[in-house]
Amino acid sequence: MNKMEFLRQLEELLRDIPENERREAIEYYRNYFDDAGPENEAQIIEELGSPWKVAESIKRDLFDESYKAYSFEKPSASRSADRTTRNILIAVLLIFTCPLWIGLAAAAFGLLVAAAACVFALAICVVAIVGVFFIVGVVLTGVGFTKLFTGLPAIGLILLGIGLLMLAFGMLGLIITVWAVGRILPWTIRAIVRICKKPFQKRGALI
Amino acid sequence: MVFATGAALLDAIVLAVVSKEEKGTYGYKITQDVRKAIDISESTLYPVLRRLQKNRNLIVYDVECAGRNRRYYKLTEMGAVKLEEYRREWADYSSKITKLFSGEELT
Repeated sequence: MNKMEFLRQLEELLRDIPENERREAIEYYRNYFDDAGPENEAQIIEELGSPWKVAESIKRDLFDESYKAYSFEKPSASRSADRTTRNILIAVLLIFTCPLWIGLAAAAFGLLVAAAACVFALAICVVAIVGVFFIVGVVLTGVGFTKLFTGLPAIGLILLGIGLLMLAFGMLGLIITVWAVGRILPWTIRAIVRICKKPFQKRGALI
Repeated sequence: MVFATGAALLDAIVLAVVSKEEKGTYGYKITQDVRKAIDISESTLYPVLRRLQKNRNLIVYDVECAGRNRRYYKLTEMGAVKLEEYRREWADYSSKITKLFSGEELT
């Protein structure tokens, strides 16, 4: 390999760096060969190693520089500081927006209470209806039973039938209520707990 | 040479070599002069010179010589200040190491 070949290969290898950098480097090594003189050409090529090695040393330095410039802009130590700043900003934001979110929180709380009251009212209704069915059922069964033996067996039989039917309905209602309370109530409570937990979990993940 | 020459020391050596030539000096000669002091490969110096040039510690200019351009390097004001800083640092550093090696107590 001679000087011209060496410089040509070097230029080829430096294709991926900015043009002015490439021109500077080629100019430097052309100068270098010229100053060393043709008698030292072979020795210099041998000492430089390969064009590849020279290109690597140039690129490594260019990369180092851009890397340093980058790391200077973004020091790694500021990560935790960034986090602290963000948490403070969030706190400040929460304080400044408190009229808004207090209102929203109050509305949400109101809705929750209303929902709970609805469920409670519904439960009382169900209990009352089941209770009425039972009471009426027992009374009618009792009346029907007495009528059966005191002269009006037909009416007594009808009343007895209606009474037993109502008792059956009451029993069914009771079973359904127990099932509903056993299944739906825990699920509802879990759902409410989950909803209440959510904002705290989110914040936990942020911090 | 068992001791590695770091980037800062290499910068200091090159600045010192260039500062000796009032009218500036060129790549090949700088390499020869640096190699009198430390053993480095020929491909090491170009990135150093380029870096010092970018940091405005060195200035380059072309001089017509035997029908072609020769690129000269010269110390700038900033480069001279930097070299002085390196000299001070080195004096401090080397004297401490010398003292330590000769068994003297460091204060």
